Amino acid sequence: MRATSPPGHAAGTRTSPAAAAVPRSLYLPAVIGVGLLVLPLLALLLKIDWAELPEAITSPAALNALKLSLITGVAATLACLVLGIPLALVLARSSGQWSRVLRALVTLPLVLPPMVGGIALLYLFGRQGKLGGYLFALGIRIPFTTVAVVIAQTFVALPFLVLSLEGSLRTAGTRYETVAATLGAGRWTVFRRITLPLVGPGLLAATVLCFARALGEFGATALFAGNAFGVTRTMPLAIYIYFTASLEDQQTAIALSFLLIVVAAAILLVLRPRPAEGIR
Amino acid sequence: MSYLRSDLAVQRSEFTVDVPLAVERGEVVALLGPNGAGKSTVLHLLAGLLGPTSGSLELAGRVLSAPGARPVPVPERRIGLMSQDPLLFPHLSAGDNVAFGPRSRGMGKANARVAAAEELARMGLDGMADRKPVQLSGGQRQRVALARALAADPDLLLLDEPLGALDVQTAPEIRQLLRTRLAAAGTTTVLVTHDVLDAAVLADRIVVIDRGAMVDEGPATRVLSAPRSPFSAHIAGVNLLVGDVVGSGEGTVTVRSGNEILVTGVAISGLATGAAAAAVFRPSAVAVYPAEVAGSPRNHWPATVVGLEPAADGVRVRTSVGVAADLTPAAIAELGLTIGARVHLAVKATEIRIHPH
Amino acid sequence: MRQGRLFVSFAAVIAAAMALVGCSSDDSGGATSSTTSASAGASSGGSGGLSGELTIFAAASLKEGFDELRDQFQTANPGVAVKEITYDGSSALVTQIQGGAQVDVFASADTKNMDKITDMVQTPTEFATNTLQIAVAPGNPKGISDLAGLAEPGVTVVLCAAEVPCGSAAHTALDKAGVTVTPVSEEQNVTAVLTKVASGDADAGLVYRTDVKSSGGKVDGIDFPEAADAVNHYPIAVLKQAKNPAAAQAFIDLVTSDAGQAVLADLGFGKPAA
Repeated sequence: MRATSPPGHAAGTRTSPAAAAVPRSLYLPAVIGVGLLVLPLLALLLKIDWAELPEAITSPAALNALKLSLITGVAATLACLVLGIPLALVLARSSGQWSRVLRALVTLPLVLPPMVGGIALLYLFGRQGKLGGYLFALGIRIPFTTVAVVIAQTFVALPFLVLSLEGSLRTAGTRYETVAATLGAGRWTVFRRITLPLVGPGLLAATVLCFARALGEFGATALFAGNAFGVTRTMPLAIYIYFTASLEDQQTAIALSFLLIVVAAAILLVLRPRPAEGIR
Repeated sequence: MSYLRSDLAVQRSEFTVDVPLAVERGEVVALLGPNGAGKSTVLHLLAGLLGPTSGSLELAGRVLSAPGARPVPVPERRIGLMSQDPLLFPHLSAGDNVAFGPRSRGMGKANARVAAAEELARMGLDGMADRKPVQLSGGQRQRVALARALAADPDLLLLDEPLGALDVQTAPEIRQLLRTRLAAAGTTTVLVTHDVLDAAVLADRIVVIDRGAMVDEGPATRVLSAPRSPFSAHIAGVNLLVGDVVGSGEGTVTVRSGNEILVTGVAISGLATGAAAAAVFRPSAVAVYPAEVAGSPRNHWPATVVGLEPAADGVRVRTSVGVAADLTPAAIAELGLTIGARVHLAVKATEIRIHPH
Repeated sequence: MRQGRLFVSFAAVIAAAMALVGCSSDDSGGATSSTTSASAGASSGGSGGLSGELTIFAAASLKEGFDELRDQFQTANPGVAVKEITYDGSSALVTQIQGGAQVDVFASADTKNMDKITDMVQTPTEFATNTLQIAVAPGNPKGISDLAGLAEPGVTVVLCAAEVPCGSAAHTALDKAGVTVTPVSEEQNVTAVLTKVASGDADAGLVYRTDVKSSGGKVDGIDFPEAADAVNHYPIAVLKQAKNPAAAQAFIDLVTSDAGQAVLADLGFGKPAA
């Protein structure tokens, strides 16, 4: 009797040992899982009015949101790099009680709903906030401005960069830094010529991840920065408002969604997630 | 005043590592000892990678570490370190690796590159400056590592098992390279190794360490031919019994060893009764008999076989009295030796040297 | 390394996109307005010599009316750069103002929300009223004729959240009628309710008659008697912190003028109480 080959294999091809090891009954949930991830996106793509799409993408509303998202996304990524690389290095080279506490604090925005982050930022910088009261008295307004968007995005994206980079730094270890020191390199030279280049690919992946997260940020931005056209209406916020609260602009929302899907695909191309541990 | 003077010590969990060193300029000193004795610890103390609990360090007229004062940081010590793992910077070419030291000390990029190329040429790696470490063989990488360490022009070079990761064919090449380059550059070196051949070829002096303390020290030839500690003896491939002098005869001296056997041998220098002494003799000088020997030779010891190991020319028989005997496989078979067999060992007095201990 | 090159091209694409977008759009460009005149600060003193920027927050139900008035104001005052008006539920706008948003004019859909920031505004002026209607799919397929019809099984209803003006009006009306409705969703502003009914995601919703009128036939409106007891009064005010109080007041004057009132009346708004 001919052995049945697993789904997806051409009839008559030899089953590879790995495929043969998967229990048959697990294929169904796996297929459903893939379906859950892919089908909604397919449905969205099918709903797009391709004839109207170019016009929708180049409409002032869409372009404005795209431009704002790109500017704030890049600014937030830069902020994440300036703050995150040192933080990742400190975390990677520390051990013991304090490092565990520090790591938990950095992970917090990852597990918190972004909305909570937005409220927290408002309570810090808002007119009635702890720090905000003083800032407003000095004429410095942060909430509901473009700066607030960048702050909100940095808040949610920073942990991505820090934890991902910390992993790479720990894997790289300190042996090369030690050798460099014996050769006469001071701390800054070691950092510049050895530490950073050695985690190049890891840093790259972390940066792209950070940018992607900043781009897609909604909750904290909505509460802390608001949704004003041209000032704080980034792509996710534009999608929300044009889809839910505007009869005429739904196509704009769909066009922006399409743009974000394209950006996501581009990011995956750069990151190219690998099967096992991924980041070197 | 020695070029390198160190009495750094550090407390470990089981014992304190305290190995005072005085090394002259251009000397190569080998640190030998069993695993866990603290050899690498000594190197880390010198390099500044480990903080001492006491003691001070002077090198080339500078005080690098003293109690109460801030120790000189690693990059400023001018002490190079080379280990089993060449640890070449993977993202830099061989040339850039070698140039790293000079550039870190302020040399311009172009000059450093020239200096690096010269150093690589001396290592027999002409034209390989642009290769990345991953494109080099194990032996080539170790050459680059040596070039890199020497290019930084260190006052002191520390070698931690430098040949440990090399295969049987490459190790002798690198050993020879080390010998010529270290001599040519006149680099003061402290070398940690398991392999007595490294010490024999490279070292001017040998320091033997056990459990953090120095147990033997002296010129390489002396330590290897007249070891003063069981471990030195072991690595020198000789038998060593230590005890007190209990009597003397015509040109001979008898020592009662720590494990209560009497050893009679030729005394190198005058030894008074009661003085501490060490008896040294080669395993090949030990005869093994199945039963008591007629004629009662001076050195005649009953013992039990506790180990049989391959040796260079046959089999090394280890016995319960701490004496090893080298026999041919045929002899083993003839005697029917197995672990636990009772034997009688005999050694001619003329084969044994007695030294003051 | 290959990934490095890929990253550089990725970054280059982002930079190119930004440049492209930067050139082709302009900051105060409108999504739906037709005649937006040139950018800020362009030119000479047309009429009145007003200048600077003007930031307006207005209730969602005012979108069509205020976008029209904004165009008129912009044309009449070319020296002022009137930013895109931010429309949302009045309660959400109040939260933002309290949080520190920089606003010159605020138009609320009820007095309750305006009262929340009474110490932050100049004296408000009532400029319109609005009455509720039941919005249903065109043709009223479920045959709803009054509030009681919303409580029928099989009818999915969407309402505004209670703190939003249309939501509090809806609750007042439902209480008056003694009808209990379990909505499938409570939205943050009235346009969201309208959108859900128009898209068919809900059978019915309580919106303003102005919303029904401006939906262009996408929904039908059904009057009900209790609406008269839940009329919302719309106040408008200048913020004390306004950066441009002169332009702010001028805009309010336009809203309360005959021309402004005509625009609002056309859309179905009621006259302000005396």
